Amino acid sequence: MDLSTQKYFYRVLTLSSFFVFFCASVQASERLERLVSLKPNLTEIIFALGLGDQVVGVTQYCDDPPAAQKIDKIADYVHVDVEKVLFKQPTLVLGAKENSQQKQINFLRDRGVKVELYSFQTLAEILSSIQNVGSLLGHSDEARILGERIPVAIAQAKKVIRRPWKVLMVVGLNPLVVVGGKANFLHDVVKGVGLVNVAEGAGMRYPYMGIEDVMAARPDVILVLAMGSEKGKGIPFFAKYASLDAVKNGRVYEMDMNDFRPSPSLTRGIQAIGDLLGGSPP
Amino acid sequence: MMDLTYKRWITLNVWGIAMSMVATGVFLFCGEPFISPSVLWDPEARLEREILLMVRLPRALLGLVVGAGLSTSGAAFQALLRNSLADPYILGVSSGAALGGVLAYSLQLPYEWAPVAAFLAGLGTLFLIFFLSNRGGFLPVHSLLLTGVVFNSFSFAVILLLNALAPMGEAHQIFFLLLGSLEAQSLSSVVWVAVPVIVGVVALVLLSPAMNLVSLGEETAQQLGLNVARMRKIIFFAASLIVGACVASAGLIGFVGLFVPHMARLRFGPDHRVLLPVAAWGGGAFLVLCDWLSKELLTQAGMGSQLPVGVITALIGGPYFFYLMRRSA
Repeated sequence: MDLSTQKYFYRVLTLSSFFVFFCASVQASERLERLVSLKPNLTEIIFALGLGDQVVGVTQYCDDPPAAQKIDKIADYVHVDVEKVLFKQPTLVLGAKENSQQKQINFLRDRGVKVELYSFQTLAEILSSIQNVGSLLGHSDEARILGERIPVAIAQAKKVIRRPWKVLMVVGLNPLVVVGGKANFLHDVVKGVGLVNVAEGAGMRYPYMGIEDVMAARPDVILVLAMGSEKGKGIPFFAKYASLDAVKNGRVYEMDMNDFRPSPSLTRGIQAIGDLLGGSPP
Repeated sequence: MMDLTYKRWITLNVWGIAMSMVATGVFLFCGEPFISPSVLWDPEARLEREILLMVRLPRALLGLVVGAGLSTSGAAFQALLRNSLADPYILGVSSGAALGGVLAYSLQLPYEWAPVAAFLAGLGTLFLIFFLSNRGGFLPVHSLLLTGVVFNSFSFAVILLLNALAPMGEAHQIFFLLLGSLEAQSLSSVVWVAVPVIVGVVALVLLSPAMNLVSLGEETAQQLGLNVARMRKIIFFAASLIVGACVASAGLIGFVGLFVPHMARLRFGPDHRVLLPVAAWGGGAFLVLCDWLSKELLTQAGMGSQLPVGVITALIGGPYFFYLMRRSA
């Protein structure tokens, strides 16, 4: 290769490198989204995928991670301010099939906004929804790793919980609303870690239960996932019913509802169940 | 009763149109964020124009239509039943319509069917109440009232039952239908509501001279040559048609049908020829302004939410109504 040919070769190589770099950066900038999340668990998933900086609108209840609280609020839990969403000019709106007002979703779609809805009722749906959100946003591998943490946490908790305790999981005290066995990810978690849900037979996701039914079901453990004004009232509530085995043996526990969202934070809740019930004598 | 000239009637309606336009203007341009009217001809302001014409305008127009409908039907029911406590919801058509919507949600029918189901159920209720109250071709007031009140209680019991049995993900749809809302409407859906409401309102306005005669007492009205039984049926059908359409599109929005006609009566007197048009324009403007407040109050506080418009109508209407009652006493 003579000198001029060599020079020519290097020039072409340099120019090609610049061209490739330019194309890559254009492609990267094209991938930047303007995301709106209509549910706190979706906000968590998006942030966990490392895409928090692309979120332009969240709900009032999006507090995890704390950085989400600084983003403009465009919805509460079920009501979406469609006007604010349109002002954000989102490239993608992510919501849940459950607890969404179809009227508002249809309205946004009619206005040309891309809205994707995911299901989070069962554990399997949570895992596939995390994967689908990740795939849609071009972060398939991160989503897979994120999703895998939940079954791993379940397996670890199952390992330490050595007895199939009969468990009642309570989500509301007045009226008494419990976790049923039909299409409910919390039931899937209870079952997955080797526990028995005493309300499994109820044909509803969150059935109402009378205190007499609780006494008849004789749960060994009562887990109270209290929300709002009922926080801190779970243990005193059941203390009135001293004949319950769970009360007699001091196995009424109050847990943080935020650790039981259908999101990556579910691993915290599963771990907390393992910590509470693990290591007990068989 | 003051003599009504064409000039006075037209002047009142022009004022009514002006009031409605001011309320619509406030709703369109004074929301957060503020949108200048110049976006209508500014080629750069595509987004603002779309929000103005496709989001705010249908909502304001629906407010005008529903407010006018509820207020006029309230005034008509008050005349029909000769009871100043009567409101558009008293004869059960609204709860029947709400039951239809709730049933559609509970059966998880496609979402678009809910307003249709509500309207059809409202019409069905109308005929059911007519059939149950009818006494040999007459519609006695006490019979209409009793049937309506009992049907209301029955419908709400069934709604509560369906709500308790509905999947948790659907229960909030029922809740929001009962709260009432004017948002997320397209212009075409507003037209569908406007047609039965306008037909009903025009029919009631045309009947307003007859309503004046009835207010003198049934016997007097009969002696003056009015077919009271026939007029009652027409008022009942026209007002019920309006209420069915309003509830099907906007859910249950309370207080407008009670508050606005009373306000109009206190200010303009009991002549229904004046009262009905004033109630129609006033009801529309009142509901649009209440909806503007419901939209803006929490937004200004930095929260991504809105208040139910029915809360605002009651919060404003209640105290002001008491104030006027005290002052006029």
